[in-house]
Amino acid sequence: MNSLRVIFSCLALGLLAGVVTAQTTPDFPPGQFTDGGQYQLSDCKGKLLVLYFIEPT
Amino acid sequence: MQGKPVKFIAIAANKTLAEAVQYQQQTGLAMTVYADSLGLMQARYGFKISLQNIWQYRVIDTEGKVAGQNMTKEAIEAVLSRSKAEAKFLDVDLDAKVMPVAEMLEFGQFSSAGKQLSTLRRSSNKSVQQSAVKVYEALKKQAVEWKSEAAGLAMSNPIAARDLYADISVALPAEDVGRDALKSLGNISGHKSVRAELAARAAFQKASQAMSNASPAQKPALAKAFQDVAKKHAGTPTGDKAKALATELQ
Repeated sequence: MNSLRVIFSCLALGLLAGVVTAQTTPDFPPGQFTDGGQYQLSDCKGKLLVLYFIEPT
Repeated sequence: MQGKPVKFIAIAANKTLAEAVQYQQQTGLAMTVYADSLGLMQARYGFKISLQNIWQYRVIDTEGKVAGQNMTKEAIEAVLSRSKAEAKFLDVDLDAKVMPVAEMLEFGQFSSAGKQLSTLRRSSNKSVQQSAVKVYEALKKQAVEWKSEAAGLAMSNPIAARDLYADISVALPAEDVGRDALKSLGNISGHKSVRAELAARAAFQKASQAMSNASPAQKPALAKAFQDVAKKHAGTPTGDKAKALATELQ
């Protein structure tokens, strides 16, 4: 019984960790934007943000 | 997507600000570009842009979660409809000259938006003037809500309250709500935790100045600078942020 409890607790913790990871979207590190703005993820709450990662050549 | 509550930001991986500006000028890319000179943003999202992986998209929904990895109009509209994103200032019917200012307000750029909106409200072009007034009225309505929210937060989270008062005061300096917010800002800035956080932010900002033009060889020096901020301003939200960033840069 005790080992079942341990297994279920581990599963629950694992699921919880997965949810936290899925919900944590990384913010911008400090730095500059070409329009002079200063954006943070919190500025986009309630709206959509589309990130386009490129390596200009 | 004009007039809809969607912000597009390009991330120039491993490029300095000057290189990002040059790229934007050469390509005519219509979205703002973040200079990710140290590749930190791509690392935070768990990939590396390279010749074998030349671009990546991430659509972040209203709750701040990754909801898609495609930048087609259909894919974005599907997320938009699913997440019920709502615009406070943007509107598809706004005059094209007012649209960028509404977008700035929508995405938290209050200081410059407030100044530009004042000029547009005095435009001799009737369409521009009417759209600017419409956005200004929406801003005033929103500011009253923020002020009430700030008052509610003043005891439990004075830093968040301070930030709301600051936004209102820079967006609407000539309105009563802006002047009241400025007074409240002065009062709450004397709060011990707010003073400590503002000092941490100033130090963090100073340490951040070189970030967009830094090369990977400068990472240890930057890590040291953020470590110093974390040490000096321990116990503040920005001190914690500096500590995490120092670790990331090591």
